Amino acid sequence: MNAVACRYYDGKSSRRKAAALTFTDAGDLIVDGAELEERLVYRDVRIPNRVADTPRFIHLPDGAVCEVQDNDALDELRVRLRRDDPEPRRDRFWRLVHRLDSTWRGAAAALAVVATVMYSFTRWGAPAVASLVVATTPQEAEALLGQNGLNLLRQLEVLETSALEPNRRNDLLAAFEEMKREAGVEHADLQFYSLGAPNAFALPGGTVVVTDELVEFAEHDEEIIAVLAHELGHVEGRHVLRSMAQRSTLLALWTAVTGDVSLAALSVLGPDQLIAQSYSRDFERAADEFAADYLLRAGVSPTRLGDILERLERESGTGSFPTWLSSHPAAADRARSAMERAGDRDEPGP
Amino acid sequence: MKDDAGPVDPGGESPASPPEFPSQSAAETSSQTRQLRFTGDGREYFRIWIVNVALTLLTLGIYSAWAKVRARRYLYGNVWLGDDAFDYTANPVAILRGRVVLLLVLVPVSLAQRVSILYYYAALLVLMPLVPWVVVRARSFHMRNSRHRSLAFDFSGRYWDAAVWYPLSWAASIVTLGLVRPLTVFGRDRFLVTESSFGNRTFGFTGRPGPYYRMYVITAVVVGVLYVGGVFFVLLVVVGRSMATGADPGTAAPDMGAFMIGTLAIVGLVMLFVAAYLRTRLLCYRWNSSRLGGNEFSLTLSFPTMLWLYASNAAAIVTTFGLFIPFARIRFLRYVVGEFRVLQREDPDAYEAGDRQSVGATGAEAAGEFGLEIGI
Repeated sequence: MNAVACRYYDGKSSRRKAAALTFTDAGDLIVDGAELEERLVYRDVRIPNRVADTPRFIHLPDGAVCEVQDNDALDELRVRLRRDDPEPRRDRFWRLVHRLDSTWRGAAAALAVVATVMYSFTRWGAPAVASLVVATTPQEAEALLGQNGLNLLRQLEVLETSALEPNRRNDLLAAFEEMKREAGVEHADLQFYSLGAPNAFALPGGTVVVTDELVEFAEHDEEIIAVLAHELGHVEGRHVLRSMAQRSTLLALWTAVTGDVSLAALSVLGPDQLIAQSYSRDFERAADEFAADYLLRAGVSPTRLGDILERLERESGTGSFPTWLSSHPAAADRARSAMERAGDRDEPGP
Repeated sequence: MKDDAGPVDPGGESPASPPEFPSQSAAETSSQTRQLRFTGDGREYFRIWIVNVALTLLTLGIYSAWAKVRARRYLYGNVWLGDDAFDYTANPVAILRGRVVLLLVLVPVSLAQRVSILYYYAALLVLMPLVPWVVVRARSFHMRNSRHRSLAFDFSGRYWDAAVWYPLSWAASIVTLGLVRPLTVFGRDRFLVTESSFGNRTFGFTGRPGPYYRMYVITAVVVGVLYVGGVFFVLLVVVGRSMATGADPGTAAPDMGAFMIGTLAIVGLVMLFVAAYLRTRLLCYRWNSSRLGGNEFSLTLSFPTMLWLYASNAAAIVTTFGLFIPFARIRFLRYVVGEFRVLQREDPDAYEAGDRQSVGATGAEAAGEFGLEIGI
């Protein structure tokens, strides 16, 4: 019977001895060689599983160690000795793992599994987790987050004090209060700032910011109402918080998988942008729907939102952006779907 | 990458004999310099890594402990001193147990954060006394499961020493505005090295505080310049863009994106410098000041090479959505391990086993989680 060359260490010193290793029919391991004083027999020895072609160190019950570098010979010897006995389940599992990770076909299968799981998690898992997070986050914590963001923008003088006439402001505030009451949204407040460009956005915690420039840009008050309704839709869905939760859930998963926060952060940097954009488009659609519903109830044409968005887009020249790259569905799409919605609803009943 | 610098472990002794199971004679003890060799292959390691990730996902994370051992065994088994590779012997079940305990501690802490930030700080304060324990256990677990020529490394640091060099020295650094930081890092390194051993031999440390001060002063100056210059530049860009920006009523605040990206870029640059300069120099200095009996070590890493390795690895990881991670590790180890030299004055056969008892992995896992891992 062939033996496998090994290096024998007695477990007491770093001195090594050349030896040969083989198994008896009963599965006992025998170490023997000219440099050893006697033939050594061990029962119940566990052969470590194979990792690529790295040396295998067999740790023997008395603390001695047998190092085998010829992995193929060791595997062959074990297969031959097993004869008809079934292979222990543990060994079979590790042989399968070795087959997977020593061939490109196995690696491709693993890659397919990883891609599928990551995609499904992004698509369904993360939003579900985010809903849970959003539901359990106290309103005060969210408001604090929004307040910090707002303070930062003001400190950096990105946002400056509004120069709107008090009357104009009060009219819009009153309209916003009415909208809140009608739509049943509790935590929301409207603030005006000057930014240098027409814009409106919702912060976590329910603060909606509208810029002076947007108020001036609007050709009709109903357009401002439409934008406010859209932003209130973001507040109602707690979209900013939800988006943050979805993205950090993905980071957490990848950190758990790679076992290193900095490596995981680097890995999700690229996909994060794409994913954030795609989540964000979902949110825009939800806010558009919320706005259209409200506007119909309030007797305002939902096309007002599409109108002002389209003009804004023309003005700033972002219309040529492909939809999948932009966080907002193209204004033309939104105007169209708003009109379809208005068409559906406006049909006179019997 | 840091935690897998593990295989660059101390004190491997190699025979002065040709490969292929030579018989050892104790006569070859004249001093000679030996280089560590790294034979890991990026493609081979990628396959092991991706199968590990897949099995971890399919088993809802349970396999991660076995995955860690398998990956480490691959890396250790490809680090050679002469014709002896290193051996990693951690028990995956111990690692899994450590991770479960860690989860049981961390989940309530992060829940506390959701209830009130005050509870969160209270929880962190309560956990502080655990830090020295975690440090000691992590290092013991790591060292006792690293072997060379069948003998294990060991770490015998005690709780109160670790308490001095971890939480208490952090406090001292804060109180003195960082002035004693280099001194405490020196003390920490001496603690880590002199409590380490291979077989029955203990490591010695010949480092002095002076070089630590030099490294930290250079780092502070460069990071200061990067930070001030970077913030100024970002503000310029953000303010400039917000003046000219187009309208886009949406969820996100205007130019918060640009601001965040700018801030991230500065943080990234600072981290890159700290990794390529400070961490590298600290690693080299610690090794160059370490002794094992009559053996000395030498590790010289060049700043431009490390900068290039870190920057190109980071860029490749970002663009491949993380698939480059295994290749990045191999590239990194090939350079670092290849530069490691051992000046051997002792008979590699003459080491004897030390006393040891097994150490749980909870500390090791917690250390990995908190980025405390010291990967010598």
